[in-house]
Amino acid sequence: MSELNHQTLAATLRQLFGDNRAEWPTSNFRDLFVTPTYLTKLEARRPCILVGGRGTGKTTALQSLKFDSCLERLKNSGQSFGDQEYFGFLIRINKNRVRSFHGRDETLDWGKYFSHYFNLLACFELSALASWLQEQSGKVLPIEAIQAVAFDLGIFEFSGTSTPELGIAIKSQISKLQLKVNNPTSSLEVVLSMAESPIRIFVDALEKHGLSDGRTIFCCIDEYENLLDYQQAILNTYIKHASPPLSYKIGVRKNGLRNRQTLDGQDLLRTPDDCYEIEIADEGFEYFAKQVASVRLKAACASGVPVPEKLSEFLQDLSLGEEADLLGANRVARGVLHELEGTGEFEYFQSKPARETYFLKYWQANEGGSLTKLAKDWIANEREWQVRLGNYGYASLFWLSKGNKGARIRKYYCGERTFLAMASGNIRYFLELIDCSVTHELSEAKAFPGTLCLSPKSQTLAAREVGERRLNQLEGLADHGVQLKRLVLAIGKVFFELAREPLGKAPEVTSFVLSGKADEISKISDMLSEGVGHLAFEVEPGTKLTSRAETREDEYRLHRIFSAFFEISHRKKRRMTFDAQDLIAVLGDHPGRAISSMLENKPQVEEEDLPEQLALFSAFYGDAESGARQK
Amino acid sequence: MRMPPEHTLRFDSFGLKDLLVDETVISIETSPEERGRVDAWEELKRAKSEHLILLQDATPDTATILSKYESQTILLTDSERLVSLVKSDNVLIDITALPHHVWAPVFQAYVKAGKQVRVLYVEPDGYKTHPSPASANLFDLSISFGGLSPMPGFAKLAGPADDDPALFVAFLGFEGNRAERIINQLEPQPRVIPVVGAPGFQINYPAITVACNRSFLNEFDCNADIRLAKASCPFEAFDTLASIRRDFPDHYLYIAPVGTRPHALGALRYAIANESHCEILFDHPVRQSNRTNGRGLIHVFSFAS
Repeated sequence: MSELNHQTLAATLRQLFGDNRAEWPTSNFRDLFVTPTYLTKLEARRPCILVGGRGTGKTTALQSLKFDSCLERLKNSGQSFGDQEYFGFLIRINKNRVRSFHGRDETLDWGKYFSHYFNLLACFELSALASWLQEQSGKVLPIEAIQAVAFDLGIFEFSGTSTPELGIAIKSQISKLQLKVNNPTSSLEVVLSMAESPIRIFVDALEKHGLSDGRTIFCCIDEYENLLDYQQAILNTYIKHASPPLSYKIGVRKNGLRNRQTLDGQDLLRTPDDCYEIEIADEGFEYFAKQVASVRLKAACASGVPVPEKLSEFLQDLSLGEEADLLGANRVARGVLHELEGTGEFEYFQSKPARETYFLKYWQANEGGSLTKLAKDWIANEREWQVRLGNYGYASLFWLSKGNKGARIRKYYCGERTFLAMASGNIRYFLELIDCSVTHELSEAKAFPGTLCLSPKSQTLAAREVGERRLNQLEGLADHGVQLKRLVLAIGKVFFELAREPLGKAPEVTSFVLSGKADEISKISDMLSEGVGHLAFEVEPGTKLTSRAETREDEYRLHRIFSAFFEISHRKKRRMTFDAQDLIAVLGDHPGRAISSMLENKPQVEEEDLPEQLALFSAFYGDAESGARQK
Repeated sequence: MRMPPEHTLRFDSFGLKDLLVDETVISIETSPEERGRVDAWEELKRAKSEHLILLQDATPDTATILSKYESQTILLTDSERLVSLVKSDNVLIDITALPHHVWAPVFQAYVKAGKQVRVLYVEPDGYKTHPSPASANLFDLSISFGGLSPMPGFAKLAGPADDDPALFVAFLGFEGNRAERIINQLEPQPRVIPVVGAPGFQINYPAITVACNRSFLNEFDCNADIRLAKASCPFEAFDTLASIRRDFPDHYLYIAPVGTRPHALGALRYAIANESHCEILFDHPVRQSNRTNGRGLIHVFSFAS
């Protein structure tokens, strides 16, 4: 296969798995769009709130509701305009713009100005929808109806007769509003429209004159988290009181709906009474992600790229035993046999595979006792030890790499199930893991393989790289990104150490709850909550409390995309308690000391023995008490 | 022979004799940094206090003004009132220690009012390094960020449509995550043109700037698009924007002035002159009180109308 062909095939694959952005060219969007499992719920008439982190596909889903995108999809399945059940238009909330209505001084009634701004934005989009509906249906929106909308928007001088002209007039009204916002004390007069009124007049006119013809009009609002709290209250009111033909579809980051109040005092926006709430991560992510990957694999095959059509074949997996072998179970098993030589147990273990024998040493390292005694116990209780191997085998893999200096891989992260777990409901992460694995796989291949499958090694290196990339991007995502990265680095280091040497014999500790003073817990909780929104952490209501000192039940863990970077388990197992004070200290000048404290001053892996990706952060980790280093 | 530009004067120390006739100085009331304490302002306070206006930021929209006669709170969007504070035609704004959201509207108000505006900026001798850095950002300059929001008087309510061409011009500084955090608020993300301050205040600063922004430059694949403008020169920053506009005539410019103050000054001057196709994006850092040490060269930039 020629070099050029190699490059073409690789480029095709990378293009397919490179991204899941809503900004794709229309042709790709049509071919590769996979209907999310929650689309039926989203398409229902009722308002709904779509909750998901960056990269979970919110924008793509909302975009698919847009009037023109929806028709494209219908046409693809042999249907037409007449089959379209709704017409969506999309407003993306731009933080820099909505924060112009800052509401911190009382020069203007900022709420009224914001409502007017939102009316203008929505009516501009409705003008485009009206033009499109006129084209599709052949019906006309009468001039009086257009002028009524303009009048309700406070554009009294409007003399246009068409919806495009209305769009132009709205733009100029936005410019006028901009002048006022920048010079609130000036005498410039801006007539403000009433909250939601022009939007309702517009949609009612579309219905009355037969353009929407009984179909629902969805006002889709993306990036709702960018709104100030009082602005959320205004739009919450619209959502709560939405009535046909108008409905609202909201896209918001987790924890981004900070305010559930409406303008009506204590009347809150409630789910499910007022709207559905769809948490993307809970909506059949595995099925959806597999579908997305399968569609792309099929597209790759159709383009002549030799890849298996089944995702499980494309992402090669390892059994526990196979992984133990790769991580050095043989080396440890040889040591076990050497110690048992000359005893009655030697023969029994010599006939066992190394992937089981090494476990004897692991158990000894954690529980103590003589190896011969443990070997005798195994022989006497084979079934019990097999159960133990099943329960602790995975945890023992992290221990296996201990002391294995220079090993490039000390734990494998591969296979469909592992990648799905690490992506944790985020389709962009899932595709990035595959895309990066392809790059690693092809970087070592001289020629394009007859059938390209992704080896456990390529997948592991990719998982580590994606984790590192995401970690470094954290600083650029959140307002407290710098602090979030410090928290992730510290907590990741604690779990890294515990994976190799568990405290109190509890392996696979991957989550935590907070204890300590209320104000400190509150400070860290706020930061962790922001981190959840930016996919630095995951949260779920905690299980039962394990000590009196715990005052909050939220149970946090690092986002699983960081598992390979910190070489920790991606599975959800045990939790521990962190003192909020230690986490606050991580944000200060001496994070190393705080990490030591979180590890109860147990010895840590020496800097020169750290995996290279962690060693890069030695300036951060490097100020622990000198006595707390491990030989 | 090429003559040095007349729009910039440089001083080792600045005294009352260096002020223009009837020039009114606007500066910060209390500077948290050594370089922000200009001895001449103390002298001016004693000798001609009616020519000194001291500001202290109060809220994101207001500042407290201390002049000879009174202390008052002023809305930073109230350009008429800002202009009325200065009776003379000559005004010198010391931007060294004033937060951007305070000096930017003040500067805009006087430029638009047609005053003879000069701006003074004192370089630091050095920046505070972080004792335990978690990234390529080796400096410890900000405590936190207020987040993206418009500076008073620079709000934009409309921008390009999704399919209209746009650029993100980032004036880069030592805090590499700032430009990235700002562009992450934009959808769809426009092409990036980074601007690095070179020559820098010190010979190694341009290299440090690139190193601190490595992740941003790689992520947006814009290493080859880097443009250079002297770190201490607002006029070079202005010209850089003008040349970008010439190269991309139909593009809307999102400008993130997160590098040096002289660059931010040049960027804002450009935005004031080109409102139709510019939008300033700023993230409002809360500064460490001791983020710089010492005092370097003093620059006075003249924006005579």
